[in-house]
Amino acid sequence: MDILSNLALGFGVAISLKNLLYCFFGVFLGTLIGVLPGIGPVATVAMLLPLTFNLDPATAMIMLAGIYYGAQYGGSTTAILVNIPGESSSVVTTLDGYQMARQGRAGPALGIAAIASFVAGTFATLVVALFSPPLAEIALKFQPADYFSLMVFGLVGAVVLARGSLRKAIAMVVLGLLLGLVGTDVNSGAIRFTFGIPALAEGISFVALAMGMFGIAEVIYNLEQRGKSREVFTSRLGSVLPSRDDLKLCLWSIARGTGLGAVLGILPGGGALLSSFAAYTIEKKIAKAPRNFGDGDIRGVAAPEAANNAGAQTSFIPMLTLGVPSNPTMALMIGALTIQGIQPGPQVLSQRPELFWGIVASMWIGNLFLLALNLPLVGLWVRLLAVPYRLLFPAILVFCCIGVFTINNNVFDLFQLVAFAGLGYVLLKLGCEPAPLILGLVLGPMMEEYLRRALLISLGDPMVLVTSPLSLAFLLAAAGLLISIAVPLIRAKREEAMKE
Amino acid sequence: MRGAVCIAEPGGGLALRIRSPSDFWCGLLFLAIGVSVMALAQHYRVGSAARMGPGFFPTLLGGVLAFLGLTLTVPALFRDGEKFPRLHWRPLIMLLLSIAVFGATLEFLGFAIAVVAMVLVGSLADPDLRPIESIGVALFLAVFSVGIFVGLLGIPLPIWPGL
Repeated sequence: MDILSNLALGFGVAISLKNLLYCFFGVFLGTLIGVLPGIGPVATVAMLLPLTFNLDPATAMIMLAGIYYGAQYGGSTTAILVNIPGESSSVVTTLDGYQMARQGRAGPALGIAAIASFVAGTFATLVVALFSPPLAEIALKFQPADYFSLMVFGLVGAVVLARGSLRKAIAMVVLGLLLGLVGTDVNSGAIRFTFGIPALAEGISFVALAMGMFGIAEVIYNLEQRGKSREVFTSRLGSVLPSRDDLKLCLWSIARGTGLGAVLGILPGGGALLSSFAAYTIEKKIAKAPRNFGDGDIRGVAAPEAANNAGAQTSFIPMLTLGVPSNPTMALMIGALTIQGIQPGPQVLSQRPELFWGIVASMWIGNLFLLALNLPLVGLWVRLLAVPYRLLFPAILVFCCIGVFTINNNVFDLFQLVAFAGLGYVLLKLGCEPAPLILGLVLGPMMEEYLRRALLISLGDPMVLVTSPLSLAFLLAAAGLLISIAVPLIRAKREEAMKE
Repeated sequence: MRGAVCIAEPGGGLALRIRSPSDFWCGLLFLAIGVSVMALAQHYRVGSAARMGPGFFPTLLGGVLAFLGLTLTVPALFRDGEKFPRLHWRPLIMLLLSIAVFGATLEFLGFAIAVVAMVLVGSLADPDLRPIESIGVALFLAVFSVGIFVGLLGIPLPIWPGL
């Protein structure tokens, strides 16, 4: 297996006219929706998911990946122009990006964000191509106990990086795991927790839950925030192309952000979030003078934008090779693959190489589209920002509902949407973020199955989880993460970083 | 909801006061869910660790969730924390109702009318409602989504009643 021939295979798949077209559509629609304030990538991907149902798996994933990058970039656009981060990973972009916009340099800020994202995306694509095959090979040797502990580690990682109370985040994971168990138990055929509703026998509608908690609950939340004024810098956009000096200044910032993001993105739990925070913090410390971070320093936009795009891309690695999502968007991707009849995991790489390498190749093409689309179209995105929310939210409502309904053509799914929107809103108000819950939902049935197999092999001895060296390593890493967060000093740091 | 925050006289002798209502009720919610899951899971065969029945994992997780609930609820009696959040009922109820209306009317009245009904109910969620504009938005979204989803994407949806 040669990396070049693999990439050639991938580009062969991705460059077909149909896939190029869908990749382009994905990036375009993703940016279009992602640019609307108050809609993050998760909601964007969930809303556009139904568009991919009639496509073949490779095309569907290529389009979804495009939607994801587009939505990410759209989030950065709102961060710079309106001071509203589309999602948590573009929070740091607001710090300097919005200041640049206020100083009339919104154009270069948007331009450098696109360029930094492209550079980071190119590098991260190579990382995915290089590291996925060996990782998948190792993963094929995993025993059930190893898998169970890997998932524990993944969930703990997600919890540690969630905002707010640690106990609430863990509780949300457990609640998600439980919701994942609703429906028919694969092993015994027993139908669990359906309360006599036949439609629940197939389990909770993943898309209804995601849209309820990330889409509708957010709309409710946004509607009550109304009246808080926000200033949109649309008139003083300036040239989109950063000057030569800007580029020179940003060169190393982009490189550092890319490297950091590529490494951190592989870790479970909001890779993009952690990497953008870390990149900004480092940049603030080591960038050459004159430094005016927090006051419109272009490097404060370049570094985190590079980092979050690199992180977004490398977060595909655990999803594609292990079948373990590292963030809610990846959980949606796994949901999409499952709907396509593909069980994500290490076997995808060996059994469906055209799918795997097609996705990898399209990552780079997607980033190219992003650059080609955003530099000239920035003006259009900016105009979209001026659409008032009272016109916007009915459209979000309609698209969420149609999306949920068309998955199974089942009206009952709409009532699930109602229930999860209500639950999501109340939990959000109580300080419980929905991200850990959705990871739990995806992993629930898998964790049960692996635990069952592990204990079956060990004749019921739970020590199997610590006698297998790999499993022990994952559990120790998970424990280490939990302890590190409990240590007051690091905890204070974490809270400080989250607040910024 | 806000009235239910104190269950005992503040500062009165041995009476416990909820010092952190947000955590208290959140923990109680998780505790209640955890305990009910454990109870419901007993309807299924729990089995042993070596031969896990369908009730085993839910019982385990229900227990963990109930415990986590306790770790939120109990300290909330002793440590001052956030107040119970103010829920905004108007957007909450109107948006949920609008989705329910869509679900209830979709198969009988067809897609076009269901979208209009949903948008009209949903726009009541906005405190600064503009009725005429809402009607326009509703009609536009109905035409637009029929065009995109039925026309362009070919999703088989009944557009009109009885068709």
